[in-house]
Amino acid sequence: MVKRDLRNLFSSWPFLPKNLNSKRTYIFPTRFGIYFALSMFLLLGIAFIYSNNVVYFICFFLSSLGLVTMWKTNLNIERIKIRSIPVNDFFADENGRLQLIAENTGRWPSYLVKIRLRNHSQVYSIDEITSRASQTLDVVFSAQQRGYQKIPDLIIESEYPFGWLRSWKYYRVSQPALVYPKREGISRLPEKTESEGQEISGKKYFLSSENIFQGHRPYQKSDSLRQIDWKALARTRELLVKQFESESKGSLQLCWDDIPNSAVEKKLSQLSLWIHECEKQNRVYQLVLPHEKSPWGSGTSHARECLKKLALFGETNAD
Amino acid sequence: MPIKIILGEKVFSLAIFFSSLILYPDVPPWAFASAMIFWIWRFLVEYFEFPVPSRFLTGFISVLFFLATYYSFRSLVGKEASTCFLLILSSLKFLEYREDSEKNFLVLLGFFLICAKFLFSLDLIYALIEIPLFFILLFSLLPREFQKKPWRFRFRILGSSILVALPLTFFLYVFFPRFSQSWVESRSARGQYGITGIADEVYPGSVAKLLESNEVAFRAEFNAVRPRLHDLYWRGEVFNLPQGFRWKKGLHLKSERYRENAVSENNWNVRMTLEPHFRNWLFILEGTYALKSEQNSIYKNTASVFTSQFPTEKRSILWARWEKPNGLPADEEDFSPKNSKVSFSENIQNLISEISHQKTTPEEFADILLEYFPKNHFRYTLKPGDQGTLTLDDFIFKTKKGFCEHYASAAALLFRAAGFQARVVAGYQGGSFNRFGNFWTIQQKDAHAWMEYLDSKKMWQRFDLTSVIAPLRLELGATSFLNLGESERESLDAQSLRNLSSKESWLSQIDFWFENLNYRWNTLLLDYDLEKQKELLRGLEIKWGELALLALVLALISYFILNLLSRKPNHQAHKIIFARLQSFFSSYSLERKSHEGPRDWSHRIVSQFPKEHELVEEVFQCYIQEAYARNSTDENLKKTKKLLRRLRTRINVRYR
Repeated sequence: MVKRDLRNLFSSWPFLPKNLNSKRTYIFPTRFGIYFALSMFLLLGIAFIYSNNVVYFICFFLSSLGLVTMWKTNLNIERIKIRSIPVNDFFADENGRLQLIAENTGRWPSYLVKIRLRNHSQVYSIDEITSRASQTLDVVFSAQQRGYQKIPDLIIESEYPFGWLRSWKYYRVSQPALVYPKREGISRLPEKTESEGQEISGKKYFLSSENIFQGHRPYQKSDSLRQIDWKALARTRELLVKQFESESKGSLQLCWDDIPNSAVEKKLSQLSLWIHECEKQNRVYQLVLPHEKSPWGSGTSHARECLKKLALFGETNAD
Repeated sequence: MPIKIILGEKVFSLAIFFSSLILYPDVPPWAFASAMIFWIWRFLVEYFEFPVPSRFLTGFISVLFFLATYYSFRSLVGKEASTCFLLILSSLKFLEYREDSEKNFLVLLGFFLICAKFLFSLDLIYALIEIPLFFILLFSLLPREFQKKPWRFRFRILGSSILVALPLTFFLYVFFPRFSQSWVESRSARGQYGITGIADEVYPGSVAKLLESNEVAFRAEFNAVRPRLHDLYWRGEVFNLPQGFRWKKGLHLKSERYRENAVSENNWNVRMTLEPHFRNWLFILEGTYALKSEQNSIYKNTASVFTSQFPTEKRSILWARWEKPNGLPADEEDFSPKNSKVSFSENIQNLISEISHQKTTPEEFADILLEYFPKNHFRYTLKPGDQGTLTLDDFIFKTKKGFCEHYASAAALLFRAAGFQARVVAGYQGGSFNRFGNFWTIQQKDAHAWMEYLDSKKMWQRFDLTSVIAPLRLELGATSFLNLGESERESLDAQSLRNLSSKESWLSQIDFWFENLNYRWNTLLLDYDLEKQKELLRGLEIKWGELALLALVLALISYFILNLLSRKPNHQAHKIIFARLQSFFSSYSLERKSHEGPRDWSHRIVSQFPKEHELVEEVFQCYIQEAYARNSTDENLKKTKKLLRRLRTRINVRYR
């Protein structure tokens, strides 16, 4: 209990500067460390009172070990350098994945390094990073809000070797993560009249590579030889042709105004879910927001564009 | 509740167990027994799934024992009380130990248990037992993640910390100021476990009781003088008040602070290490004329008995200067008539008038007694029994056998009966010499009583009837003498006895050897105090340069050790190889061109030295391994360097 309180105290350490100096390593005794130090004073007192040289020696030995530990614990964290790979955008209802590279820049291995995000309970521990080596680590975190979100500070800490002292440093990811609105609402797509879809059918969308395999059908004479599934022939001794989910379904307009009266966030969530569904079904769609429209399209980059619009909806400096 | 946590860490729990067990002689039996009960309970928990007591119950028990400790010691301050409570507390903690995080606190308690032992005894044997226990405790402080790793790994982790900590430890140990604290000592529970070698009075059987005891009373080391065994009379207390066959302490003996010129480090010739006996006696050799103690101030009374201000409650060192004695000075009080007012039976008075006459001097009377006792078949016996009711008449005319105190009392009484001043002295005689360490060990069984009479020159002279009744006792010392059979003590002649006792068994040799080591260890530990520190500092000021040099050497050594321990891979190795290749082949104008990789370069070299193509390829293969495959092991580097050397000599021989 006390330990957790102290943890909380440390994680919001008052003298920490606003602009964290991630080069600086902090160190503070743990609860056991404080007990240990008090015991050393007690031992010193006993040695003093009884003028006992052996107790003096034991006391000095353990205290020196404590001092050496201070240095060791500090270096253990000091030599760890953290780099991160920019975070992919993610939906608010899923977790963001921050890829970290922890590199040991020192000449000695570092042991029992723990990495966690501030205000997150999950701890990632690395048992050993050998000298000049690095380890990658996927840190999962969540975001409550949409838009550009600051990634919480990383705390890299260790109590190695005896748990008397805890040294830690911070790593701040400078680039924020883009969080799309939560996917919520009805997952059924708002099928509309085909007519509107045909308006844009001047362009043809080739989606073959992204088509989803549906099954086989017997070969017909008009089919191209390329379409024959030769592996299936080897298995079944029948001429079979692969069938894909066709682009037969029409295009969609995802309209802000189509969503019946609900809160802004709810609407954004619904749109976000629809875009997700469209992408799953390979539909061509257009996003229509109160003041802007996206072009018709489909595919990852189109979805990203649309979702970004949703994520930054209502923000003044949104572009 | 996770059962068998401790089974997983047998070594750790055994270490805690043994550090409790070793406190057995220093805590009261009830405390030790209850600690053992808690231990047994814990083992039942481990093996038979007994219930672990609740926190409430253990808390309640610890309060009970707190009160019991207070009741037993009437205090909680002294080392006895606190050790007792510590033992109970640690065994209770061990009983209720559930979580891994609690282990650390048990380790702390273990450190305290170890330190507690050293408060009671600094014996080397305990140190030898405690050192491994201490390191096991240290080991178990390593994080749980490491407990599964191989021992070598853990040794390296802990060893590197210890190696760096040790110089600092020694520095602190040497320079941390030691102020002595005798006042706290004297307040501790006094005499709880006191060893009373010599009693407050001398009566038949009082000294003989101690014969069985091998307990060490003190040790003495002589410098520049070689005393004979029968010269060593360690005076404890003087008794000058006869009551029948008993002798008691006279009340009139005044004592004063002893202020004689203190002995310095250089001119001492006797150094004594007193074991704690919880009394004030110092057992000073007859003939001592200068004395210095570390912790205590010394008092000397008119009977030349030295005492310390506070009882000796821990091992302490005395320095003295001693010469072969020539009688002790007398005090005015010694001549007062009330001293000689003792009534004797007719038989005794007849005896006195029979063996002496009016003009007999004390010296002559002493000679008469030395003749009288052997002639009348007085015998020396080790088991006179506790004959508190024995009278002088009984002893002289009936039993005619006794131990040293009988003869001392009897002789002193006879002196008194003849009208001379006499008193009984109790202390120790002789000791066993340790030839490994060149020091004497005086045990309780060396206890002895003798008497002193005032001679015609008004000096107190030592007189010991044992020298004629049992000369071997003084010749061989108590240890060898007591090892002889009853018949041997009387029938064997001195020469054959001496031969007999000079044959030492290998066991007793080891005993002597270890005793010596223990003594050195103790003096090393005890000797180091504020005085020594000041002296050291004074010495250091002069040799400041040397100290700096020493620090430099120490720093270099520790740097070296650290480097050896870290075993870092050498990332610069391939650069060194490259530089060597470059410098060598440039002398054949075959240096690497900027567009070339190592393979192209090696092909060019091979085309120049076709006969060496195997070796060249091998060298370059190694270089590529070093530089690109990150396969930079020490062996690879060594191999590469060797190959390179061979290649250079070959090319130089064949092509130059």
